[in-house]
Amino acid sequence: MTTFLTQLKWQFILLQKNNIISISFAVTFIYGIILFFLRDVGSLDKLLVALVLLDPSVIGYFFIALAIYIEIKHGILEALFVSSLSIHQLLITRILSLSIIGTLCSLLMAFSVKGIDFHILEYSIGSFGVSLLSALLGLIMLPFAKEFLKFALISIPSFLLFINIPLAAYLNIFDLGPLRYIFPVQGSVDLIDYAVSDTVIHHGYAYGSIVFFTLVLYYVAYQLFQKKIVQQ
Amino acid sequence: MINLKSMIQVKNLVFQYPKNDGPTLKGLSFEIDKGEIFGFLGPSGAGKSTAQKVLYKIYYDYQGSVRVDGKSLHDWDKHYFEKIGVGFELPNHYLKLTGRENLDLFATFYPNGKKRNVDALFEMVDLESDIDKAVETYSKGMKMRLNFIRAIQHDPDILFFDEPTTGLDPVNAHKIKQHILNLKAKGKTIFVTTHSMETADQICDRVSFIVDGELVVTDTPKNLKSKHGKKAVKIELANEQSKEFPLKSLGENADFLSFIKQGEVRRIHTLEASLEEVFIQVTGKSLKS
Repeated sequence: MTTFLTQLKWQFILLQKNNIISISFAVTFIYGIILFFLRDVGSLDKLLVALVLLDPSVIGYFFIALAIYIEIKHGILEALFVSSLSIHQLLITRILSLSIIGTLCSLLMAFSVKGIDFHILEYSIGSFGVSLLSALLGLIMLPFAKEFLKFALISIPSFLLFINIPLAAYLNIFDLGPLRYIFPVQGSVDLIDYAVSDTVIHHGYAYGSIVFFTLVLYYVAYQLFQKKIVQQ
Repeated sequence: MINLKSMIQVKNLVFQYPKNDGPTLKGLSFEIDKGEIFGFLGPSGAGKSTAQKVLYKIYYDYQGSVRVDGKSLHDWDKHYFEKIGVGFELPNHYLKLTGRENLDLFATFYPNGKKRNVDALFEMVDLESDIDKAVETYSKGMKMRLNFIRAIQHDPDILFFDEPTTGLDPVNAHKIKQHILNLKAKGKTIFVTTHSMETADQICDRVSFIVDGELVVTDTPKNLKSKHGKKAVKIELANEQSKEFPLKSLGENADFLSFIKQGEVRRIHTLEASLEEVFIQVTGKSLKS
């Protein structure tokens, strides 16, 4: 456990040295300011949920890829692969560090609009789920592009499917019906919706969905990483 | 049969990349004894990197047998990586971290206690004044020295060095070769991959020539040079005359004795081949190709 926490600490150090933490909080700060000044305009719940779906998902999805592309470019992964660090520990600590940053950013946005008048626990779990699942999707897409710009290009359809369809459904642009359950972030959306708007949701489904999709996506991400990155 | 002296035993190693038509490694067999420096020499694309990746336990879908310290490579778990250290051909560090932070980070991958003193390591390669500077400010030579100390900081039994003197000035290249010899003196087993015949000649106990995925010959540099060179000396006189004489019974060779009396001797040298010449003779290829 100590080793795991040490690796987690180093992931935060690496993210900060590459300015990823600073950028994340700077963007969140701007969102927070906007939300703060708009808070008297009317209910901002929908806007908050939309921002929470987009901001931590971008942090998870793009920054995990950026961090790994930097390591590929500088040949660092090769050195990691011949060390005692397990691939699981490398991936899990990186996913967790980004998810924690994503969750903290989401919380800051919520505090700026709602103070502490929301279900903080459910909101935190929901936004943590969005960041976590987005980071996993980023890892899955990573082996299909050799550099970050190409990754960004191929991300347009995947990110659209992954985040924007559930978001559009949440905003009542269309009704997905039971199809909503096939989207990995749906459980997280439900929890965030409940946390800020007291919407009635099925908590069992929400938590179960996050756990289920985390396991499935991690399995796929790990297999692809092992096959297409480690063994190249 | 298991050779107790042997640290690495490779028998009939065949490896094929999934998308290739044929194997990249075509039945390599070699043994490296404990405390030996073994050189792997071959042109680009010969299969050196692939063989290394098998030995690093990155490629495990191979045919043949690879045993390390008496145990099949397939049976080694993650503890294998505590046993090996790898010095890469090109610098590969976290550029935003300092030199010390890079080593501290890698040290966390290994069990407590199995770590050499970081300050002493930096001092060893004359980087002590740069230890707390970001690696992005280092020159290539400094990064290569950082590669070297990172490979040895967890005190592994087996070391793999890929072009260990690349990017280094002659003074630092000499120091690194000396450090490699010191590691051998401490009983470490060392596998060196290099294009530099000079490096191989100076530090390797034995070398193997690899061409097109096959080992062509394995022997000591001394034997190879002796077998493939002329057993003769060439005498050059100050009056520009020169002549070759066989080494056998040189002291009783009347022609030789008479020749060296004909003028002032400017130079006497043996006609053994250089390792590079041996490589070209044996493989028909140049290492630089």
